[in-house]
Amino acid sequence: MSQSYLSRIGSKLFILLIFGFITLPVFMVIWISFFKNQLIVFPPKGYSTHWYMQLADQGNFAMAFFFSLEVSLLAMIISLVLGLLSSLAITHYEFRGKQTLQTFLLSPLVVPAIITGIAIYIFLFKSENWLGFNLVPSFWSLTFAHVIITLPWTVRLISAGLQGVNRSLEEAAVDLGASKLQTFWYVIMPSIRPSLVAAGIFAFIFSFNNLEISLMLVSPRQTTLPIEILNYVFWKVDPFIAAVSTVQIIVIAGLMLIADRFVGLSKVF
Amino acid sequence: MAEVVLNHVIKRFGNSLAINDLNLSIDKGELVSFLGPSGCGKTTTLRMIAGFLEPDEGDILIHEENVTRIPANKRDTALVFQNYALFPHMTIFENVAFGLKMRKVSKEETRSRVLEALSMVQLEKFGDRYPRQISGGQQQRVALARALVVNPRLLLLDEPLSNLDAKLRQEMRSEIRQLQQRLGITSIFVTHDQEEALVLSDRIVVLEQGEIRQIGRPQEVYDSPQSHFVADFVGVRNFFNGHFESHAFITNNGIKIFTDMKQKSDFKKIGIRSNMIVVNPNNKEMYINTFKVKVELITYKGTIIELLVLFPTGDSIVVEMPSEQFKQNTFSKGDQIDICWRPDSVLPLSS
Ligand SMILES: Nc1ncnc2c1ncn2[C@@H]1O[C@H](COP(=O)(O)OP(=O)(O)OP(=O)(O)O)[C@@H](O)[C@H]1O
Ligand SMILES: [Mg+2]
Repeated sequence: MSQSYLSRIGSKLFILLIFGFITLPVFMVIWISFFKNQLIVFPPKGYSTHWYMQLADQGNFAMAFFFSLEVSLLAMIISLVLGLLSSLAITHYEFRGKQTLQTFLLSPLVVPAIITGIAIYIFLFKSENWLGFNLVPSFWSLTFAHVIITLPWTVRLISAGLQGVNRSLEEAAVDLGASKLQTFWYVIMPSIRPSLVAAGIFAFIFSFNNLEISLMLVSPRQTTLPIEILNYVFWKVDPFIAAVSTVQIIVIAGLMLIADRFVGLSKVF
Repeated sequence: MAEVVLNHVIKRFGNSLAINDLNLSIDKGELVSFLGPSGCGKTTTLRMIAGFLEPDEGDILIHEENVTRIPANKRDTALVFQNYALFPHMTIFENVAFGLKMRKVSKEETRSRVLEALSMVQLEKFGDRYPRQISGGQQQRVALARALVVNPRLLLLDEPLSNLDAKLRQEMRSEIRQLQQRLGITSIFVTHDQEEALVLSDRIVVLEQGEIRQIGRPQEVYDSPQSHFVADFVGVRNFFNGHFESHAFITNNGIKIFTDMKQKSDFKKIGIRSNMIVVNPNNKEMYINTFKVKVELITYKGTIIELLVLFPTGDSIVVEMPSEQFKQNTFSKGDQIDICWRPDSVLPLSS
C-alpha cells in the first residue's frame, strides 16, 4: 500500500518536473520583462514596468503586431472555409484520389516549416518571372503561405468534429425533408461548432507565431511580429524584448484557454 | 389498392448480392414486419424504401407513384431509427417540430401539431427538455412523435425497440400497435425478434440472405412454416430428415411418424414443436405417435421444464413440459419415458 502511495507521489513529482522544464523559459521571459536595468544580470538590480511603457513608443513593434494580426485573421478565415469544405468532402463522399488528397492536405505537418517556406519562396519567385509582376513581398503571398501551414490544422480538427457527428442524425434530418444545405445548417453546424472554434484558434496561433515561412516573404515595411522580434534580438537582448514576448505569450495563452474550453486540447494532438 | 409495391428489387454491394429479386406489396393501413436474422437485408430494404439507397434493379412504388429515383427528402416516408437519432442540441419540442419547419408550416400550426403529437405519446410536459434529459423509452416515443407529426404516407421502423429492456419493450410494442391502428398508417416494422413480429404485425415477411422465404399472417407463419429456415426462426426445435410413405414419414434412421398428410408427398423434412410433445399421458392411444425414449438432460426454465430425450436410434429431440406437470411425474435423468404427439403437430418442410 505504501508502495503504491510512494509511486503515486513519485509520478506526480516527475510530471511536475517535466512541466517545470517545459514552462521554465516562458516564466523566465516574463520575469526578465520586469527587470529594471537594460543589461540582463542575475540577480536583477531592481524591478520596474517601464519596458511595458515603451511598447507604445516603439512604433515598428505596434505596426508589426497589427500586420501580424491582419495576416493571421485572414489566414484563419481562409483556412477555415477551405478546411470545412475539404473535410465535408473527405467525410461524406467516396471519390478517387481521396487518400491522396488527405495526405496532401496534411503533408505540411510533416515537412519542416523552413523547407515549406523555401519551397513557397522559390515557387513565388519563379511565378514572378513568368507572370511579369511582383509577388514577393506582398500581403497576399504571405497570407497564402500561411494558409498552407494552417490548413492541415483546420482540416484535422474539422474532420475530427465531422466524424463525431452521428450519420443517422443527418439522415434523420433528410428523412424529415431537409435539403443538403438545411441539414448542414441545422444539424451538422451546431454539432461541430466547438471544432470550428478550436480550428480557428489553432490556425490563428500557428499563423501568428510563424517565423520560418514569413522569413522569406516579408519586407522591411511589412513585417510580422515574430520577425520584428528576431530582428531586434540580432542586435541586442534586453528586458524590452522580453516585454514584447510577454504580450505575445498572453495573447496566445488566452486563445489556448478558450480553445481548451471548447474542445479538450488533448483531442487535437 | 396496394400502397407500397416492391417490384423485382435487386441491391448489390460490390460483388455481394444483398437483396435478390424482392417482390412485395403492402396494403393501405397494414403493418408488415420484416423478420430475419442479422445481415439478411432488412435494413437495406427499409433504406431503399426510405430513399437512402438506390436499388440496382427494380422499382419501388408508393401510392402508385414510382419513387425509385426520388431522394429521401422528397419521399412521403418517415423513418424511426434504431438509435432514435434525436437532435441532441434541440429540445424535444424542436425535434418534433423539425419536419414541419422543413415543410414551412406556420408557427401556430406547428405549435398545435407538435403538442398534439407529443400528447399522443404522453410527453406533452417534456417539450422543453433536451434528449439527454429523458429516458430511453421516452426518447423512443419522441422519435415516434417526430416521425408521425408530418403525417407520412408510410411509417418505417428499424428495430425501434431493440435498445429497451424487456418490460418496456412489451409496453412500447402495444403502444406502437395501438397508435398505428388508430391512425391507420401503413407501416413497415423491422425486427429479428419473432415474438415481436407475431404480436405486432398484420403480415410477416421472413427474409433470409436477401430473399423472401415466406409471407403470411402471424398465425400462418407460426402454425405452418414452409421451410426449415422459417420453422427454425419461429421456434421449431426438432427436425427429422427422411421421406414420406403414404401418410407416414420414415426418418433416415427408420423412425415411423404418422402425419395428417392426405396424399403422397415428396417433402424430405419434418419439424415438431417441443411444446406439442406430451410426456407420459394417460391416454397414449389418442396421440397415435408414441415413443419410448431415455431422458438425457433436464433443464429448469421457470414455467416450463426442458427435456433432452434420446431415441433408441440415437436421434435426440427437445421436449417442453409444464413445470407443474413435471412435479407430479417421478422420473429423473436416465429413466425411460413415453413421449407422444398427434399427427397434425407434424410440420412438413421444404429444405
Ligand atoms: N454499405 C454497405 N456496404 C457493403 N455491404 C453492406 C452495406 N450495407 C449492408 N451491407 C451488407 O448487406 C447485407 C444486408 O445488410 P443489412 O444491414 O440490410 O442487414 P440487416 O438484416 O438489417 O441485419 P441486422 O439485423 O444486423 O441489422 C449484409 O451482408 C451486409 O454486410
Ligand atoms: Mg439492420
